[in-house]
Parts: sequence; structure tokens; C-alpha cells
Amino acid sequence: MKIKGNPLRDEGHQKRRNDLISALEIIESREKIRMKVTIPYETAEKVRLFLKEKGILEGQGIPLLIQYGLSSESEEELEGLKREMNSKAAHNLWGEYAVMKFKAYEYLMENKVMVMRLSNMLYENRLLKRRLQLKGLQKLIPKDEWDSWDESVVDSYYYKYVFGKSPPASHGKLK
Amino acid sequence: MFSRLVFGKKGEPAVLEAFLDKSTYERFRDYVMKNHLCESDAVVKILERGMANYWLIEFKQMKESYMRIRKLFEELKKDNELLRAMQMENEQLKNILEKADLKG
Repeated sequence: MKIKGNPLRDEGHQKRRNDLISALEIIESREKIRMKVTIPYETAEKVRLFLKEKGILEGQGIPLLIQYGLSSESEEELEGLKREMNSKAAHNLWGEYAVMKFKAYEYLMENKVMVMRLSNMLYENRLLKRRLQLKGLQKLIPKDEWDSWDESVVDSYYYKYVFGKSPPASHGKLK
Repeated sequence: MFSRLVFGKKGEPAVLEAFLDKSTYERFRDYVMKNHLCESDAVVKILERGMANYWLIEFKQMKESYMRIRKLFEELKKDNELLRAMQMENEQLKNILEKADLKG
């Protein structure tokens, strides 16, 4: 059987190879290293109670405490954070953060649904404007940002909301 | 593959088993070397520091996350307003055309 061309030079093959390498890199970065040490009973009990009080499972809490314990913040920085955390502004920030996170999620879901219908919405908008024009109602036709949108802009919204990733460089950029 | 504490008899040392990211483990090894400690003593010191500074680091991370989410929130809000505007405009244009059709 003859093989046409060099498969290694084939663009599709290169892309698949690069995708595979990226996937392997991700898997590798997710690899965990097991550590097993003996610690005094008092420390272990303190950790157990600490995590229980916070409602964190040991499986998540132990690596988290190690990560926090190894954090690079200096004592000065920690003091600064302590002062800041006790301020009224910080208390408000926790609340604002929770609300904003919730609202952002709501917008994300709502936008996702609307983007799924974006092609139709845009087509309908153009059709309605065309009908107004045919009826001699040009004055009532609004000028909109989306009048100049082409397929690449619609695709960019799709990538952003439906596929949850940035569009390829060849696609239109969202403003 | 879960991190856990295994207790023996009351008062006796416990076993801590942890599964760490490569980068966290490397930082742990550096800590052990830098401070000339055995792994066990190092873990105790690290856990104590982690518990003492738990809320401070949570707060710092929340602030960083807040800035990222704020930026994202503005972007999502802007898109939402634009998409809703298109949806509403379509309804308005349909109404105008219906009225125009009725007038003949």
C-alpha cells in the first residue's frame, strides 16, 4: 500500500500531535505526589478539629493547609492583611464578592441561552429592518452595533459561551 | 487517593498521608532543606502556619478572585445588555410592522 506524502508533515497530524502533547502536559500537571509522615497526636487532633469546624473534608483540607502553610507571604504582609481583614470595607467585600459571583453565573447562563439563538435573532433583526425599509419606514430603523456583525462575530460568541473558550485567531474579536 | 489522618491509640503519634501537587511538594522539599528539619517537624510547622493564617490567606485569595470576577462580571453584563437589546428590538420592530400592516 502506498502512502501519499509524509504524514508527519501533514497539518492535521501536527495539530493532533500538539493537542495530544498539551493533553499529556495537563495530565502530568495533575499528578499528585504522596507524602506520608508521622506527626504528634496533639497536632493531628488540632488539624482534625480545625477542619471539622470549617466543614472541610480531610481529603481537601490537609493539602490546603499545607499549601497555605507554605505560602510566601511575609509576616509584614500577613499583618497588613490582618488589619485589612478586620476593617468594615473587608466585611462588605465578602458580601459583594458572593453577590457578584452569583450574578456573574446568572449572566453566564442567560447569555449562553441567548447566544444559542444568536444566529436566528440576528437574521430576524435584519429581516425586520428590511421589511421596514420596503414599507418606506426607514426613519424607524435603528442603527445598531450588530448591524456590522458577520459570521465570525457570531462564531466568537459561540466559542465564548457555548464552547467556553477563546475563538481561533482567524475569528472576529468581541469588543 | 485521599489525604487523611490515621489515628492510633489516644496520645500516640498519628500518620498524616497527603497527596500534593508537584509544585506544592517541591516547595515542601525546599522548606525542609532550607530550615534543616526532618519531614515530620516541617509538616507540623507548616500545618500550624496554615491553620494560623487560614482566614488571612482565604481573604487574600478572595480579593484576587474578586478582581478577576469583577472584570468578568462587567464583560458578561455588557454582553447580556447587548443580547437583550437585540431581543427587545426584534419585538419592538415586530409591533411596528404589525401596526403598519393593520393600517394597510
